[in-house]
Amino acid sequence: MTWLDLTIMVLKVLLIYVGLIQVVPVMIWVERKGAALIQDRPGPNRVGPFGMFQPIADAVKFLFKEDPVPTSVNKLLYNLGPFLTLLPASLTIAALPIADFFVFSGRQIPVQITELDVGIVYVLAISSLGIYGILFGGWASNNKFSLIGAMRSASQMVSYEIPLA
Amino acid sequence: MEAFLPIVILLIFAIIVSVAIFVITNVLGPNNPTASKLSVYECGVKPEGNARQPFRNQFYLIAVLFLLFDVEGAFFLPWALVYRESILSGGTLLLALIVYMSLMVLGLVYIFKKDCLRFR
Repeated sequence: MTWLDLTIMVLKVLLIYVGLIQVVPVMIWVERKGAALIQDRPGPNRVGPFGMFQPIADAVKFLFKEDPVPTSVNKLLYNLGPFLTLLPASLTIAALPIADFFVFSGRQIPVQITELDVGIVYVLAISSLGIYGILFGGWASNNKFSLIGAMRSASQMVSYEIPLA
Repeated sequence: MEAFLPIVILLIFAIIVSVAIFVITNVLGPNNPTASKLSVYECGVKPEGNARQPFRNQFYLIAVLFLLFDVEGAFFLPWALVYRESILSGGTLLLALIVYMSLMVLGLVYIFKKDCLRFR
């Protein structure tokens, strides 16, 4: 392992991770526009062409919003919840092949963060960790409705995972 | 092991990004907590009681046992699919399943002996 290998590795991780984050607003736009099309309403159409900048405006709005933490919650788990849902979502892309390999200074570089032998097992294992964030958030907020919702989400995750795997 | 190094790098990036979002929200956002904001949010209804009520651990025990036997039972399906072809070429698969099934029944007998299924 040389410094070149390490540089390529870090660059690949950065590029694919930033690429993934770029995809999120587009997917939100597609989802909202698609739902609007199905339900016969205009959907987002104010910000930018076809409302395409709406997710970006939303993201900026979210950054400027207050983040109240109720007094009755378990503070550590309540704040840990969002992290534990975002991290597995970011980590699952590691095993996904994005494109064909390209040749750089005589070596083949696959456009994939890492080539795992256990890729499918890795994806299944990491994607199921996302439920911990929901469970932590639901339990820590000390709220009956969110607790029940988290339980429902967890049971759905577990029951769909066994046949999928 | 070297194939997992990029995952560690990705994990570090992901943690940096999520912590950054968390910190930025807390820095940029306003902070004027009021009593109603800090109370438990239950859709405008006055919160009543505690969400974390204790429950009998018998429920938990039965749920765990159900999950165990559910997963064990799921292994019968692939066996049933290949059984017809494989029984013609010897009974190894049947023997294997008999061993597996007797282990399962042994587990069930153990549970009955421990009196776990009776709701007390």
